Amino acid sequence: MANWLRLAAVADIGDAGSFEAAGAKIAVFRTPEGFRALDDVCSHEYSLLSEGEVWDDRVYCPKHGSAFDLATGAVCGLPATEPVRAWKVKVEGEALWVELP
Amino acid sequence: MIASTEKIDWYREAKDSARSRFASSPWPSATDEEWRRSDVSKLGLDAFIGASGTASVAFSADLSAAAGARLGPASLASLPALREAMAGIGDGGDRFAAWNLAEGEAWILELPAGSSSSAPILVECRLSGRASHPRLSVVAGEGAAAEIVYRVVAGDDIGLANVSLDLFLGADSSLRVFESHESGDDVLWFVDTKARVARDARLLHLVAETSGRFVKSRVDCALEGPGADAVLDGIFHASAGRHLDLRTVQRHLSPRATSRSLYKGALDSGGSSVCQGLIEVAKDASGTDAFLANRNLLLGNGARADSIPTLRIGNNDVRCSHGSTTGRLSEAEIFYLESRGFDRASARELLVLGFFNELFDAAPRVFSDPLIDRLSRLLVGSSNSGASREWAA
Amino acid sequence: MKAETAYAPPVEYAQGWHDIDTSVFRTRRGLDEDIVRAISAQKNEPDWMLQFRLRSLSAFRKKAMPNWGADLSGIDFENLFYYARPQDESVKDWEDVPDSIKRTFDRLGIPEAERKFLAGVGAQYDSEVVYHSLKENLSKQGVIFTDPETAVREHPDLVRKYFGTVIPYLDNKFAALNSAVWSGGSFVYVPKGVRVDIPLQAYFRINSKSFGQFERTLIIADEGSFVHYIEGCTAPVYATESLHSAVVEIIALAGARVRYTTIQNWSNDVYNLVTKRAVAYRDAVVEWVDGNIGAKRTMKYPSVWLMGEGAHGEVLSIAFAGEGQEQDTGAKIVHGASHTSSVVTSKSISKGGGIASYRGLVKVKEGLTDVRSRVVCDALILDERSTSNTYPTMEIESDDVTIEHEARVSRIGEDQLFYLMARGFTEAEASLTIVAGFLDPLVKALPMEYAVELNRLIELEMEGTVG
Repeated sequence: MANWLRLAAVADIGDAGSFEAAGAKIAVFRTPEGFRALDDVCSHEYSLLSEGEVWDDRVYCPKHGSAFDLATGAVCGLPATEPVRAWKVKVEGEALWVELP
Repeated sequence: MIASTEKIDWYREAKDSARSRFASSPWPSATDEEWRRSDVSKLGLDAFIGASGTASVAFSADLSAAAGARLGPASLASLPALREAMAGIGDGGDRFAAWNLAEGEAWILELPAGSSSSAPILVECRLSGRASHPRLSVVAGEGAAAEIVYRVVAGDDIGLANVSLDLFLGADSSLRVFESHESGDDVLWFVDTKARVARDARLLHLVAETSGRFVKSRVDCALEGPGADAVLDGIFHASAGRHLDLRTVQRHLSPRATSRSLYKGALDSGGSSVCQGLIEVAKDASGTDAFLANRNLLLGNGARADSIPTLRIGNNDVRCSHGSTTGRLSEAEIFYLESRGFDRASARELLVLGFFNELFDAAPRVFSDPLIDRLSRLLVGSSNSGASREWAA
Repeated sequence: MKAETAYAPPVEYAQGWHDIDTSVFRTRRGLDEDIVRAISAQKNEPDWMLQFRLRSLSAFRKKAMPNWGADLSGIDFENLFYYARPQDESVKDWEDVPDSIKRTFDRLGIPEAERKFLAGVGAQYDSEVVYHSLKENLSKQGVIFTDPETAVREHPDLVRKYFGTVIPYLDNKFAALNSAVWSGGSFVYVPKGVRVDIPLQAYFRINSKSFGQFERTLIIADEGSFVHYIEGCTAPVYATESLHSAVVEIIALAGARVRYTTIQNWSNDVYNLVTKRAVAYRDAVVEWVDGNIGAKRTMKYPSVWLMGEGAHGEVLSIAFAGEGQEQDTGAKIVHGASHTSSVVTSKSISKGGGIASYRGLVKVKEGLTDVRSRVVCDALILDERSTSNTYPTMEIESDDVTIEHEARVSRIGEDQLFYLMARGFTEAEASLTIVAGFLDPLVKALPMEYAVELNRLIELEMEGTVG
């Protein structure tokens, strides 16, 4: 049984935001294809992906530019070598919900 | 005793200014290069502010073998020597240094000029309460010689020990100091050791770090006269959950001084260590001969050993080098011992003790025996969790 | 005074561009969006590259200067030219070239025609004949060796797949700068199994600006291939601009081997800040040979990310820091896979008040087995005025490793000098012999003509060492 947690009202989320759920920091991105969510902390060094730049389905970490696929969290460019977790999100009503593990 | 030092203006001023420095400065942050790998922000340090009193430190010593040596709280008579020993060297103090000066009471061990001892001087410092700030200054007069075994032992309630040690060696003196920090597994240790070595004086400092949850230590030695020699050695064990950040500084201010530093550690899975060493040679310190090494033995996967040996050399008439190696026990050696009847755990224990052996060699039995016992328990404990890892009483 | 020729953009440009007075850009200092658009338009780039440049410009503005490394306080960003001039423009008079450079040309025996080119005086070095036969051979093998501008236009799929994936535009301030204003450099693609037998050099390509300020190089060695690329040359290069910020990305796919050799001898007013990084996949080998002789300040740390089992990375670095110079160089190796190995050998010499620093990192990630790394740094300080620093870091997160690091700093040994002098060498000759011996293991790794030139250069630098 999926366990969903309400993150925030959709209207309160800008292009990107940082939230906490299940003890993890989650970065949420608003894209033309819908919301995407990844671990907020970069897998390379401590830095927040929610403060990064989003281009063409990828987010680039602001510290050193590591690239991650917004849908899967796969790592697409150095210096990171490990993926970040992708979180499943859905919009229900006026809020964004995240699926907890 | 306390009253007499309060009367001495400069000491009181030093404490007052330390108090205000403590109050106005923040804890070191991860943006500070020296603290980058040991983030103190999650240690709950604020809870220890105001948690200590002077009653939390009790020094005792067996001075029977040392003619003329005196150990006591800083008094009128000993203050000039103390002041000399406490003269600022190296980096300006951080918040922990200010805290120690503010809260602690300075004790001084004086070794008169020309004195010597027939056996090691055993100094014990017992800490009680929640937080404790012991401060010991060892002042060796010209030509004095002594071997000191210094145990800092934390009581059961101790959560934080902020230890300060000054070693001041007058010309031609010789000090061999063997220091151990003993506590339960949950204690936070902050250790600041400063040494000043005058011409033709020789210092050997060996510290053993095998306790606590978090250890941040700095040993900063200034070689101030030709012929000065310093050896800064360390033994450490990072069991699961323990993080050690050990820094040594060999500061060559004078020409023709020599120094050596060797820190050896064993790490279990889940243990982590950082060894930061610096050899700094001033522009006119010609004839310097300095060496720095860190050797890390990894006893399990999932340990993390960082090694950062640094050289800053401003004079060319020098010989300076450093080395660092990190690796595991050799399977061939384990197999050899197993083929001679040792079980695997005992074989590993023997090899690890063998790894540390060159550092025990220099130490008196009264220091190395309990340390070897302690390490044996830790090693057995790591391959057989549940075994007692307490220090021998 | 430099002669300015009128500049006529050859093709239609995106809206807004034709409103801008092009001649203004060639004389205007500083950097802004209009200049970046001008650069992209001049190169006829597709929109995705223009967007990449613009993002990089914004990153360059946001990123902070490094708070470590060589002293960069002398860079005056507002006052530099960022726009690469077209090749067919004469830059200066031979009269303006400093005597010291002319003397070095003499000593190195550089031919007349080459001297003018190197000094930026001649328009181009006519290596047409050599170039043509090389070009034929390469294209027969399917090797692509061209400038990055051509690659962007003619091989967009390849470029888009790899460009900026090894060194992203946000990596550091100078990589961001390069990503915004890059011009010239090389693009190399070596197909599967192909061995390129002669070392590739940008020098060979006509119409290439061999010593651009912001060169961008991308080398892709497909599975099982081999290529040796050589950048720069030992002859001193009289630079027109003082900030050089290059980016080199290398991808060595499974079983490939890439060697990248650089001998840098920029004139002593240049800030040489370079980001060089390689990824080595399964059983691949990447070797960086990095010689830093010139420039006022160098910050360069060739790196290898070992991301496939069996990969091997090697860095051989020589640095010579003379009067007024700071060489801050080193190597960075990241072991991201099991059964990988790395070797770093760094040799530096400082004299005349120069500062040579080694800065390196060996990182072994968690959960790996059979990882070996050995780093050896040797530094010679030739006089009391000079300085040598060594700042290595080891971060080890796996236990099945053998990691070794050694560094030594000293002067030329008295006993060695004495031995040679007792055999008839003068002190100067003895010093030179010892220094040459010190550097020998690295010089051996260079192609012959470089080795010869480097030895002559060292000889030149050593003059005046002994009073």
